[in-house]
Amino acid sequence: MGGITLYTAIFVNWSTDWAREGRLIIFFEMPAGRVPMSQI
Amino acid sequence: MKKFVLVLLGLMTLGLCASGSPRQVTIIRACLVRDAPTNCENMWAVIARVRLPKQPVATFAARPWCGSKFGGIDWGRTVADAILAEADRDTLENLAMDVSGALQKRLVPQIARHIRGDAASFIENNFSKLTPKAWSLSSPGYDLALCAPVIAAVPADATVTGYRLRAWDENRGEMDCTAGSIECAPGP
Repeated sequence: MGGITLYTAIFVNWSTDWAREGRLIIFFEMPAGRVPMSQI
Repeated sequence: MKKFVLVLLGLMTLGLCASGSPRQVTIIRACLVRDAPTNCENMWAVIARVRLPKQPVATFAARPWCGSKFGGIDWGRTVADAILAEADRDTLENLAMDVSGALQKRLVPQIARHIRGDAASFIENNFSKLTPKAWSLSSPGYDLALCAPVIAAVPADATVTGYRLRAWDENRGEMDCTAGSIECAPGP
């Protein structure tokens, strides 16, 4: 979409006794000569 | 007096180091990920995170669900529209980021301001909006504290080679998520 692709998963917890964190790791290759940037 | 000044300077230095610590890494070389994929040399990994805080009352839901308000949100579309409203194509060309983590940590107010309605409320309330008094399994809306979107962005012309889901528990640490499964069991 417009130069960017978003990947979304819904993290569903089954309990509230502790803080929990959901993580989504996406592996990707950049086009030759380009490096990903994390700042918008 | 001299000793006092030295102690004070030491404490200030510690404070500066703490406040100046780098943010949690979100983009790394894929080979640095635990159990890295094969042929990872030319790959990158973006690690998106979202945290559900501990609630004032511990409740267990055998079959958790997210509630109709949460379920009615198209998180991908909502966040994509917000990003596109703020950033131009050149900016997005190489953008790979932990969008959910940035939203939850209030690092991207320029994007968050374009998100409205229920999605904005969930983010604003850190996916946890019930007071201790109201918190019970029978309370309508208890489920609001059980769900959150984890969102990663990669450039549209990047080649995605795979993904992983992980869960981390404040008490037990990294949880056992079987490859290919969408469920993560409690740790040891």
